[in-house]
Amino acid sequence: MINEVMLTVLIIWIGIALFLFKLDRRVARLEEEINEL
Amino acid sequence: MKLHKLIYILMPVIIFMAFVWAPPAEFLGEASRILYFHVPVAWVSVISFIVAGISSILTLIRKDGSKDYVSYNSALIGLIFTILTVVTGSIWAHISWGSYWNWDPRETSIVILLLIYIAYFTLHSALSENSNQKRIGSIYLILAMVIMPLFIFIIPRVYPSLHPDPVINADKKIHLELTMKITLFSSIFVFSLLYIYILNIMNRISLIKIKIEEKLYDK
Repeated sequence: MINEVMLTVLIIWIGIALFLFKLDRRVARLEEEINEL
Repeated sequence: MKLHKLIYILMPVIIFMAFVWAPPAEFLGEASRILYFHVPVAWVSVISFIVAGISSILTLIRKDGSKDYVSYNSALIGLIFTILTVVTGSIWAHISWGSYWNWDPRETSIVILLLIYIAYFTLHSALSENSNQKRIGSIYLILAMVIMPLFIFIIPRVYPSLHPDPVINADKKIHLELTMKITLFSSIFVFSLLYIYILNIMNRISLIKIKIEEKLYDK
């Protein structure tokens, strides 16, 4: 049971981490574009 | 690589420590592992409200309001983490006390705090056309920061509560085994890094918005 809970928490974290990583990259790209304007 | 980006590696380590490395608490059993998420999430909510308050003081001192977005973003993160504190606390309450909600002094005080910060966002959006929006919002956040210790630290200690001893308790001792203590404090550190990382991204987005508005205004 505890392993299933850990797995669920890990999956939730992977989802959050992927979202943050993609968001961070997009923001970095936007910052570059804005500075070039 | 910036320090706050370490969360990608450290958070899975914390999850492993919380579920495998640390032993379950003597009377609470496996359910006690929620401690390693509930306390850090509550910690981040307090920190973010303090940052929002301090940033608001700086906004009022500077008078230009150019960095007002830091207070707003920090308060928003604080609000989300307070909701997470209530959710994790309710799950734990259901397991330990048999009910999700018991109107315990600590539960009640965190809900009042939640309402205070929801009111800030209502005020902020209601004043969107007002030139004093930043100033009024800043004053409100400073007042909220001053009131916050009353709800977090004083009221739950004055009235009898079902809530277990907080980390900072009357004995001034942490009643946890060494492995549990290490896991808890590591988790608090990693969640603090997560807060810094999210705040950093949100501030950068706000800055991009401001720059776009400036460029459009210039044209």
